[in-house]
Amino acid sequence: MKPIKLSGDCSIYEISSLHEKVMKAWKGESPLALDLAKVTEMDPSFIQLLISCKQTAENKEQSLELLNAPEELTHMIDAMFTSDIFSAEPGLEDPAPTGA
Amino acid sequence: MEIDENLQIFIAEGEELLQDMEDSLLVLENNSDEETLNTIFRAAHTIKGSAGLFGLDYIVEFTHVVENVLDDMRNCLIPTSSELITVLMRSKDFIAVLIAGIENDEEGDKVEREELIQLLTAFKTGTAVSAPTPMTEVVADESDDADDEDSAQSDHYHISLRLGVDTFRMGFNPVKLFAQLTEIGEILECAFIGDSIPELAELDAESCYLGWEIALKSNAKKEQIAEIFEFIDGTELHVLPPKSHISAYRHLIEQLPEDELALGQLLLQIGTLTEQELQEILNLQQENLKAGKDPSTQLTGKLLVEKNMVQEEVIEEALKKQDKVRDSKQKALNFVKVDSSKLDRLINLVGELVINGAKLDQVAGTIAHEELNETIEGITMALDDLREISLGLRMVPIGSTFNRFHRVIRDISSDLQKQVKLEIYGADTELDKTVIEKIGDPLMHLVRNSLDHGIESPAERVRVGKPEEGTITLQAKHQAGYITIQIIDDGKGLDPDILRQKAIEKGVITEDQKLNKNEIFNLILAAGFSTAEQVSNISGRGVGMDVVRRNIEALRGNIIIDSETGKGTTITVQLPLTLAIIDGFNVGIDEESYIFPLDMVHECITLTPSQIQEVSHHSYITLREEVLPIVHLKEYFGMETGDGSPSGIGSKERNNLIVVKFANQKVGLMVDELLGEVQAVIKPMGRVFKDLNGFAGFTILGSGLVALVLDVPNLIKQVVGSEHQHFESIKQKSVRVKGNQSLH
Repeated sequence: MKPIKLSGDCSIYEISSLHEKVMKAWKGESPLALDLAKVTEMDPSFIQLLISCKQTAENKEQSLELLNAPEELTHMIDAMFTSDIFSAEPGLEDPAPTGA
Repeated sequence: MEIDENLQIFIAEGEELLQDMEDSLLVLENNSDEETLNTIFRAAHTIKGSAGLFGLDYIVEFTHVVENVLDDMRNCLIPTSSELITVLMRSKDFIAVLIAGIENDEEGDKVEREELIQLLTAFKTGTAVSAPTPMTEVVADESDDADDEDSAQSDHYHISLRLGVDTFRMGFNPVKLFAQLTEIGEILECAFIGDSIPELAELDAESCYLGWEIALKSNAKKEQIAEIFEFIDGTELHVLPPKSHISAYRHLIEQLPEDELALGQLLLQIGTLTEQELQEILNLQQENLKAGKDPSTQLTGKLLVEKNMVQEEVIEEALKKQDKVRDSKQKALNFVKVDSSKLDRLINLVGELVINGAKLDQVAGTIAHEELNETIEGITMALDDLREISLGLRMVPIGSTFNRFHRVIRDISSDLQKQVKLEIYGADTELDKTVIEKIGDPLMHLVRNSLDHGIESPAERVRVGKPEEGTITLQAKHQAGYITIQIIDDGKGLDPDILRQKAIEKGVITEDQKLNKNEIFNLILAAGFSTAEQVSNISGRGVGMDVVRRNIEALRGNIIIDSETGKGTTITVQLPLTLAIIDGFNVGIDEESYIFPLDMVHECITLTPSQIQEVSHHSYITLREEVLPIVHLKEYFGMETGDGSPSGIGSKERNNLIVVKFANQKVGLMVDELLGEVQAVIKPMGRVFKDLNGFAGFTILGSGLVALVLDVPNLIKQVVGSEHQHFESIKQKSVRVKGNQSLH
């Protein structure tokens, strides 16, 4: 399955549509890969969505892959003391520069 | 040294503080807790500070060394051990000696002082103990304490945060909340709680499901922390105060003005609880009660702890404060401190009133004046109440006397390398103040004896299948006009054969003397009798037990020893409830009056000569299938019986018999006349009568005549002792007389 591309504003204003997009694109039969290269903005509601994605994937014996994660995501994860949850996620160890 | 008033206050307070210190050291030995250690430290600190004010440098210097060790214990640098407690106990004793010596300018034994300082220094970690400059040190110390509390490294708030579901919708960003927290303190630890976040299918992405457990090091007040989150509706926030600040909260609780506060308000006032939390708990409490939940599970304190709003220790302290407020209010309302000498004067005056009241009654009896008699009857009734109430004023609980033995048992058992625990029952039992004051020393000796001779070594106990730790029980209870104090040990007990053999060797009894088990046990109360194979510094010199007996008898008391070899010994001390005024029963023998304490008069009966049986000059009757020895008091006191019969018993058509009972033993005493109840003010016998057995004192009757008060326990002991052999044989024969001659 191709990565789901999320872009632009990933804050509370768009979070519901992002949630819907992921739900529609991923049925749990394969690992959930999110391409975050084009994400320009984010807030804790986005981190909450990612945690829900991770839990859902794990419950379906799949994994969550975060591709091209912007540096801001790492900062946000750290600021919310959630790094333990994401530490094993591919794509987070070497965050790509924003917009890469 | 001339003692001024302030110094006297210091001496009195010092004694109280040292008692607190001793009590707390004993608690600390079994249960090491912060507050107990603080109590001990505060006692030493206060003594040092006050001694400094009076320029008593030698007390300041020694107490400073003790205080240093206590401070290290508080900071967990020195572990609490039995050895350390022993040294601290000795140090406390030495401070007591120093304080007691102030009056005579005595500065204590230098050798002991040096030895103690060395021992204390050995426990102290790090730097050697330096003696302070008294006055400045006291001031500096207090400020040090304050600094210590504020700068403790491990202190932090514990914040439990669950954000409200609309947090995101309301535009709050949790990351910014953390930034605000870091403005007032340092986040030491933070654990994310994401358990409530649903899976994608159930997720409402705009709702917030986030939570954290945060350790925040901050000097901010709890209210300031709560303010950061106060605008986020639905947020669950619990802020537990820093652990080390609990003592500060406790202190605050103690400092609150004496006012009756509800628990919630109390906690709100000191800042442990926020108003929002209190409201939440009160709402929950009401809802739960409405829903029919058990009210005992819905107490504010319980709910606060359950909801993690306040730590249990703080609740306990607040509850203590509430109790204290109630108690002190109660006490302030109900108690007045009175000099005990005033009470003694009151009792004496009541005694005089009783005597004169009896006299008035007698005079009125000779004048048949109805109104006068009615008035006297009223006065007599009021006097009865007055007597009872005024005697009650002198009654104090025996608990404080019993509690002294915790230390005694601890020290002696450690010297003897034995393991002994003390159990106390009936500490609330009240006894006349004078008796309490005089019973301490005899009890001390009895307890020491139980420790030394009774309780076996741990190895020996294990060998005979007992627990390693022995038990000594001190028990007090009331019994018909008497108080019974028992010292019970579960040690090796007394061996009657060994006791008998020792008594023969020491010439206390002769070889052909026949004694029953209790009489053999009572031999240990004889002068010069000791069975300890090794004389120790605890007991075993054989000079104590007869002194104990004499002291107890001087209080009109009695000792009974019961023991079972291998199982233990029970020493029962029976003491009169009061020494001053008793209800008595007046009897006449010849022209004289004698008083029996009414509590011991079991019954009065009239006998015909046929009911009295005689065996070898000893008389007895069978009363309700029980053989009862009879003694004619006239003969017993060496008076002329006047009828030529050997005992004087049975010569009259009708004979008056008083059956007295004490410690389950009954004796019938034949008297000439039964004169009825009187109130007797007991006066001690003069020194010239000190060897006269069988009398507790004398009293003045309404007629102005003197009547002797009989010492029933002693009388029974003597009668039963001499009758013993005959009595045993009569018991066996009683089967034959039963039925046709017994009284009912």
